[in-house]
Amino acid sequence: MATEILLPKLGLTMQEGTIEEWVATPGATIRPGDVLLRVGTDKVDVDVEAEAEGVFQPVVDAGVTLEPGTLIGWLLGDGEQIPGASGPEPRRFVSPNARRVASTLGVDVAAVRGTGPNGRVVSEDVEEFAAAERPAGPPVDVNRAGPLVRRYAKEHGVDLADVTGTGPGGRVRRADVEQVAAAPGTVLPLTGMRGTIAERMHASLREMAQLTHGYEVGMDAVVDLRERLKAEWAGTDLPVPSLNDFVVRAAALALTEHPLLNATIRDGAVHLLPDVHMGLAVAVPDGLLVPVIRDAATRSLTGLTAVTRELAGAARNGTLKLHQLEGATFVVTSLGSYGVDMFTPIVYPGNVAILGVGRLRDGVRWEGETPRRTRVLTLSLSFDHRGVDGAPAAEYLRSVDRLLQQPLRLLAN
Amino acid sequence: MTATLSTETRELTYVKAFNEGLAQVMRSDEDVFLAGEDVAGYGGVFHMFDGLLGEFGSRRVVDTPISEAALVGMGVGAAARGLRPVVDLMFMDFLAVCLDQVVNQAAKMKYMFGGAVSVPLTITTASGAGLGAAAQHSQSLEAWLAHVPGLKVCMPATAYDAKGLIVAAVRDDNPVVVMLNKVLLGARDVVPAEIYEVPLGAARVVRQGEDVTIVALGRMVTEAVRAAEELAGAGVRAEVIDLRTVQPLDMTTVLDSVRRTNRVLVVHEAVTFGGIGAEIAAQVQDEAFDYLDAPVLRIGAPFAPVPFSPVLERAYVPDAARIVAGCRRLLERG
Repeated sequence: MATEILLPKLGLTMQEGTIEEWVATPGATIRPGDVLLRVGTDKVDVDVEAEAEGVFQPVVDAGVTLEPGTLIGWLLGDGEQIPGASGPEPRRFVSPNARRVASTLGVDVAAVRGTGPNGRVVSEDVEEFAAAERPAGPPVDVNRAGPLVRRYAKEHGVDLADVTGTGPGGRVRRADVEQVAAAPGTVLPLTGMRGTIAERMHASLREMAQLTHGYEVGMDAVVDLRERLKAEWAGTDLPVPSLNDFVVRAAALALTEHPLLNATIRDGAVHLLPDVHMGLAVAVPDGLLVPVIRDAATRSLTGLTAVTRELAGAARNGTLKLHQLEGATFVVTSLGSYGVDMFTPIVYPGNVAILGVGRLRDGVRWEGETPRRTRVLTLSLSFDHRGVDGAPAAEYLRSVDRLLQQPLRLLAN
Repeated sequence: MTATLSTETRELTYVKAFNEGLAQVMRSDEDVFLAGEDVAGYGGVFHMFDGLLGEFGSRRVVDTPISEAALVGMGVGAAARGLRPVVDLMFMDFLAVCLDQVVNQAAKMKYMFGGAVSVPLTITTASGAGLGAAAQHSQSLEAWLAHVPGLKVCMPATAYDAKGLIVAAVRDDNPVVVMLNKVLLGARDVVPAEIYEVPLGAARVVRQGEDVTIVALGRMVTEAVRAAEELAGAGVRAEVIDLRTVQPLDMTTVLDSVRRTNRVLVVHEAVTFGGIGAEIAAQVQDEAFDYLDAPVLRIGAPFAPVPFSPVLERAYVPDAARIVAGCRRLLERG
């Protein structure tokens, strides 16, 4: 019976080994304990002995470097062939027309996969093969840049046509490509904050079953109240809450009524979180940051407003501390000042929902046949359907709406 | 279709178109006469000759005794002496009774007499299965005739061709067998009123396509077109060629098509073994081997007599479904 000879793993850390020498002669009859080969690793050279008997037949040449476990030879019984190597190659069927077309197009039919009956190569296979081989776009001038430079240029999104070659005869060197690649505006590498955003946003969408509710809330009461506060608090130290502060406050209070949206999903379970730590998405020049208002549900509106201003300022000045960026259980993000009404925010990894705040705009309320101007905005709640269904998500939005329509409640502690 | 000679669009049945063509060619040439069993008073069992006795009289439309050998022999003699006889073999199966006259006399005379004698004889006959006429009245024997040098054989598949081919056959200076198909007798087509010829030995591309060529004979042309329509629904563009004449055989049209489509199926009603399909397959591999992506496929009747039972007969004669399946086989890709 044929016995495989595998490259042995000589020690736990061995990643690869080189066959320094085949000690045994091919075709020789080997007995257990005979030395077959000498293997070199980065640490030692070792003689490898046969563990079985048979006629020795190597299948790789001395000098090659391979991973441990790779088949390197056989110990065969009398008259035995190397398994899998016996018998002629199966006949390859190629239609006469396919041969003719291949010859016309300069295609080697041996490289073409046949899709006809019995795997026959038909002319369509050859044509499709040729079409796939043909480079899209203008042919590459292989004399203008070497293969490594071409690959480097491709990896960095640089078109060689845009590169001035400084090598001999105008040949493009790697440094030429690097120069173009480094030019501003050419490549924006996904590194640093950009890389973190890319990775986290993609991970969020990959992992969660996200969907978004759009919900129009009435803002008349908030707008009126805010006008009164502005008038009454003028000249005091009290910070007048912004519209967004009202929404954050309402969102935080509503979360105490709907704990399912203040949760995290891990280990196959939805874990309701005892405290509401409200993340605020803040746009900064190179991306965005999400500073966190801890225990947001227990803060007064003015307290919330003060913290929000502090955090937003620190975010824009780049002075946020790490602890101010951790632990959000729910996030509010506003694009209202950019004129966006409705959008589909992506849930912050580890949360189950995120609330988007739209533009404050005029709405219409009908009183009988009479239209009345109102102030409204659209809330966009994205949530993870794995943990939250559409109806409870809508109920949460209704609670936020109710709080915004009765904003005195938001002033209470 | 060949250019229509008239601006008038008028539909005729296959049998009426044939009848009109024969009457017109008789009118145009007084040497043409018709002879056969029940062709005069009865007008032929399939009404192919209705009205001819009335117009041309009993000197030119002649009922004969039931002897195909005598009938064809008379035709050969009359043709050799300068007339243009049309003799009718009611059923093609009766060809067996008079093969000596057809094969050894009509087909050979010009050759044996060094070209001194021509035999402008036309033999008309009804062929094909589908009417429950059983094994002795349903055969398609075109391959027998096409095998004999000196004979021409045509198989009109449309009313237009039934008229044009009978005119061309009568006017040809060699013996021509016109095989009418019994099932097609009522098939309608636009047929010009004027006399016209469909040239012997010119196939017709009925439908153009790029993916597979279907070469069809006689009644199978209709089935091939139906198959092509079904295939078109699946995105397969089949080209359909109506051979029209099997001797001479228009291989130019067939080969041109095969070189474009690279796949070809031949369908005829006759038994597959030794049929015209075999000849076409052989010539295609001779002339266009390097253009084939699949073996030439033949579809024909099984090697058995035509069954009498209508159920078995339907299973016996090829149809559109078998052609579709055949094309799919040729086009199969994994």
